[in-house]
Formats: sequence, C-alpha cells, structure tokens
Amino acid sequence: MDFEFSDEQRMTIDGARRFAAERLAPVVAELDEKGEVNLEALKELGSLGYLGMTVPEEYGGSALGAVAYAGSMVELSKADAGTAVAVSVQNSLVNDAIVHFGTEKQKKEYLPKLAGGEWIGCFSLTEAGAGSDPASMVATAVRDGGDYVLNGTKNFTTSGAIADAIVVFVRCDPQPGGKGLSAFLLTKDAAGFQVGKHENKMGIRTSSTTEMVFSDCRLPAEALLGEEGKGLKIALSTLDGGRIGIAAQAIGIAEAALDESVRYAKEREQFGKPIAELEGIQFLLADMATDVELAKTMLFKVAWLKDSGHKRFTKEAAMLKLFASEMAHRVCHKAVQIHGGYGFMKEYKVERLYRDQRITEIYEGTSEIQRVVIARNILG
Amino acid sequence: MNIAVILRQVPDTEAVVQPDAARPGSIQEAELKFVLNPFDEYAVEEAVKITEKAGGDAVGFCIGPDRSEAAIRGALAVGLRRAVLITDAAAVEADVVTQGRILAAAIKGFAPELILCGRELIDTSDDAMAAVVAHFLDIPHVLEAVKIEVDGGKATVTREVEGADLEIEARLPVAVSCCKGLNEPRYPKILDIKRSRTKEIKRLTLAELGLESLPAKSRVVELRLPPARPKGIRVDGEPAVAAGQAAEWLSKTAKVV
Ligand SMILES: Cc1cc2nc3c(=O)[nH]c(=O)nc-3n(C[C@H](O)[C@H](O)[C@H](O)COP(=O)(O)OP(=O)(O)OC[C@H]3O[C@@H](n4cnc5c(N)ncnc54)[C@H](O)[C@@H]3O)c2cc1C
Repeated sequence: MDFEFSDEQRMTIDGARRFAAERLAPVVAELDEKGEVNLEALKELGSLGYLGMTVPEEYGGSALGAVAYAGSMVELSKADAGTAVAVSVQNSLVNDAIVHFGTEKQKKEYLPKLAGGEWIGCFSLTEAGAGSDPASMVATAVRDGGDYVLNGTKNFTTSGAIADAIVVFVRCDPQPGGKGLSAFLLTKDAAGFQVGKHENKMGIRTSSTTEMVFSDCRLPAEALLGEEGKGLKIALSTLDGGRIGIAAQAIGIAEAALDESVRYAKEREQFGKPIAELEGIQFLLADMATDVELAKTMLFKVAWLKDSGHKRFTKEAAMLKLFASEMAHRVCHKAVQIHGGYGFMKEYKVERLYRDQRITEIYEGTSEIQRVVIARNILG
Repeated sequence: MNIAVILRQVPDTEAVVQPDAARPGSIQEAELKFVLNPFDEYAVEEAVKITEKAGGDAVGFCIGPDRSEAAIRGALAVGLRRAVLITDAAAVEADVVTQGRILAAAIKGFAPELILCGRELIDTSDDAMAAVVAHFLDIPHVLEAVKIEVDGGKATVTREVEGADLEIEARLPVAVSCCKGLNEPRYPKILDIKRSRTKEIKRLTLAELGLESLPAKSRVVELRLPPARPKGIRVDGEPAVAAGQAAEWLSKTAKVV
C-alpha cells in the first residue's frame, strides 16, 4: 500500500492548481454572476492535456489515469466548479464512452479533437420524463434504410451550448424498458439537431446546461456508439467513472469552503477575540476538515481501483459519490454558518460554494439512486 | 543558441519554516513542500522561448540535495533539454560566491551564449548569482531583466529602475538574472510531464570539476525566527475622543512619542 502520488501525478495536479489559481479563480465570480462559460480556459485545459486524461496516447490523449484526473478535478473545482464539471463530463462521460465502446473509426475521428480540447463534448441521457429512470426515455431512433432518424428532446445536458461532439441516448425499440436503448455519436452540425432551451441555474453557473433537440436528425448507421440495444449498459458503466469526477468536484468545493472558513475564523473577531478561539467554531472546523480528508481518501481509492484495471467498482463509486456530495453539503453549510451574515453575501466566496455544491447530490445519479445502487450491491 | 539556466529548489512560498535544532543554520525539511524557485521559472521560460525560435539547447544547472530532482523535472517538463545536478554536501552548503564558482565550472564546458537565472532566491534572498557566475567566467552580466533580445552576437536587456527603464547592451556570452514581467511561464502539458522522465539529469561531482578542496568563504551559524509580534491594542469610539486616547497610550504606555 502506498499513499504517495507519482512524480507525474503530483506535477499534473500541481499544474491544475496553478492553472486554477491564475486562469479560473480571478474571473469566476463575474462569470458566475453572468452565467457564462469560461470557454477559453476550458480549451486551454484541453491543449495541456486535462481533457484527455484517460484517453490513450495513440488517440491524442495524455493517458495519465484516474488518480491524476481525480486530483486535478479537485484543484479545478476549488476555483471554479462549473468549468470543472465540463472537464469531468468530457473525460469521464464522453471520452470514456468512446474509448470503451467506439469503433476504430469513431476513436480516430473524435478522440484526438476531444482529448486536445479542439472539441468540447457532451453526454445527453436525461429527458424531461426520464431522470433517475433513464429506461423510461421516449426519444427515438428509427431505422430507415442504412440510416437512423432521431427524434425527441433531451434536457439538462451539461456543455450543451458549447458542445461540438454529442453522445446521445435514444430508444430504438418501441417496447418499454431499458433493452431498447442505444447510444449515438454525432457532431453538432448534423442536420436536424439543434440546441434548445438554456437553463438558468442556482449553481455551477459557469457551466452551460441546455436542451438538445432532435427533429428528423438523420445519422448513418456508423454513428451508432456500441451495439444497438446496449445503450443502457453503456450509460451505466460510463457513469461509474463519471462519479469519480463528480465526487472530486464535491471535494474541491468542500475543501475551498474549509480553506475560506479557516481563514475567516482567524480574522473575524467577536467578543474581543478571533472566533477561531471559540470552541464552538473549532468543532465545526474540525468536523469539516475530517469530512474532507475522509472523502479524499475514498476518492483516491476508487480512482486507484479504476487505474489498476478493476472491472467493477460500481458499489465503491456510488459510495464515494454519495459520501462526497453529502459531505460537501455539510461542509458548505457550516462554512456559511462560520461566516455569519457575510456568508450570505455575494462578496464572499462561500456564498457561491454553497450554491455550487447543491448539484453534486443530484446529477450523475441522485443520492437516493446511489443508495439504491449500494443496497443492490450489498444485498446481492 | 545554447543557454544555461541556473536552477534552485526552495521551500514553497506558503511553507512555514522552522529552524532545525539538530542542524544549526538549517530549517526542518520533513513536512515542507519544495518548488522550483519562482523567479527561476521566468529564466526557464525565456530560455525555452529563445531556443524554440533560434534553435540550440537550453540546459539546467542546479546545486542542491537529491530532492532537487523534482524541481528540475518541472523545468524539463516545460522545455529544458537536459540538466546537470551537483549534490556534494560541500557544494550544497557553500556560500553564494563558492556556489557561483562551482556553477561557472560546470557551465564552462557547455559554452552557452546566454546564462539565465532567477532575480533572487526566495528562501535566502540571495540575488548575486548571475554576477558571481559572470565574474568566474569573465563575461558580462545584467541583473533584473524584464526584457531580453538577442541578436548579432549581443544581448539587449531592459531593466526597470526607479521610475525609468534602462536598456543595457552586452556582448555574448552574458549572464542575466530574470524578473517577474519578463514573460509568462507556460503551464506544463501532461504529455511533456510524462516525457520529462526520459530527459537526462546528469550528476556531476566536485571531484569531476576538479574543485574538491574549496574552502568555505563563510558559513551560516544560526537561523533565528523574528520574535512574534506583540498583540496590538485597539482604540474604539468617536474619532475625536479615540485620537486622544491613542495619543495618550503612545506617549505614556508605549513611550514612543
Ligand atoms: C445542472 C445539471 C446538469 C446536468 N447534466 C446532465 C448531463 O450532462 N447529462 C444528462 O444526461 N443529464 C444531466 N443532468 C440530469 C441529472 O442527471 C438528473 O437531473 C438526475 O439524474 C435526476 O433526475 P431528475 O431531475 O429527473 O429527478 P427525478 O428522477 O425525477 O427525481 C426526483 C426525486 O425522486 C427521487 N427518486 C427517483 N427515483 C428514486 C428511487 N428509485 N428511489 C428513491 N428515490 C428516488 C430522486 O432521488 C429525487 O429526489 C443534469 C442536471 C442538472 C440539474
């Protein structure tokens, strides 16, 4: 057992920290207020290799693995959780789906552009009527000669407005249930596709979230990602890796909230002394630090499981995502409390962290769904 | 054009240093995070930028213990071709002039046209290295560059002084120390971080440089932290009244006026 990062992992994570401090942190408050994406920074992260961390080098990736990816995600999320989720979606959901299920042609066509940041990718699974239960989706793909014709509206797609490449899940078999789902891979210029409504969000406002509208969108059969009918399996196995990214995002947010709280508690004086000298505040800080530390330890364990080629880490990934996101909730709640009224004001960073944290308990499987997955795994 | 870049690993700017009781004059290292001296990053970036355009090799030269390899690898990841590391205790513990002499000896064989280093070491605040190395190589030096242009066998270096810019010309080879503002050090690409492992960090000993018996010119005998700042007092209330109270405290209690 070895808890040390390799030199490469450490340098990569340090690089992400420096990038976050210099390129993300100075503009995040303004972009959050306006609800704008930091596309320039995202593309630059791509050119440095942070958008292709699990893509093999032969397809233009930096292929350093899940541990370095998780550590980098924590650092980026500490500064800007909205930009970080776009990084997570691209690495874990889009690239990984193509690496594991794409044809050689799809890999050659999509991966170098995605891994290098020339293209931004998105993953459209959710629909208005199909969130926790994706098998109930109604968007369809109908075979027409050698082509498929897609119809329907996906919603809540992260990076929808800035995406060049789209992984979308639709129903090929009209029978209800998960067996009829298939995944497709397309570019934004496909005729019959357009970006729909842009969501106005509580948090992670530096990420774009949109509807994706397909009306008679005709795709060649080779746009199928993986086999027809295997869509649900592709979605679920890809989401296992995605949970590492979202957990890292939650941990980054929580760690930032902890750092802010430690600093604030030392500076803020009431009753003639810094509030950090009050035992009540110290206990809050101690619990926050313990929470962050434990989540981080589990983060790197699950990342290590993925790197060492363990095929199944579904239960561990669900536990990690559940714990890290609810941990971030506790920590951000306490951080605002420690800041008192100032924590409620937009001038203070914890106000944003509190809002940004909330989504980590919802997307890529709500906390309830993580519990369902964990229970299913332990009950057999 | 070949460029030598002088590198040093130092404690991270945010590190809290404590004297090491067991080694007078030294700091406790166990819990410290070390980084490349931040000013050296400007030197590295400048060397890489120039050699990318003009060709040639940018090579790092470092005196320091084994752990310095981590900082060197960072510099290799952003574009230095290779590096030389001198780890002899006598070199690591030597004074600036002696270290400059050692570095000059190590750099001499490489015959660079430009020698770059950081403006200052952020741990010891030493800022003389470019001048010292230049002295031992009998070449010119310019300190605190914010702009360097190399053309036709000479370097034109801009240096900021109080309220003005100095433009200084020197024939090559020249040693220049680099300031913030000279350039924007690039971020390492992950692939280059991986490839930096294949770049050579050559160990060189004082014996190989023919410098084994260097008498130390000075040595650090003690490292003391400044005394903790005493707690201040705070005078609240209406400015007119508070000012009087503050004045009284300054004259009667603190006895400074
Ligand atoms: C900002 C943002 C970005 C997103 N990005 C993407 C994206 O990029 N791609 C994508 O495909 N989707 C994305 N989503 C969608 C997200 O994954 C879903 O919102 C999420 O899965 C929950 O689905 P829902 O909103 O329909 O809630 P519902 O499924 O309707 O859930 C409502 C409530 O019921 C609970 N519940 C549901 N089923 C059960 C159960 N079996 N047992 C117990 N409780 C249950 C839920 O936990 C929740 O509390 C995003 C959402 C948001 C808000």
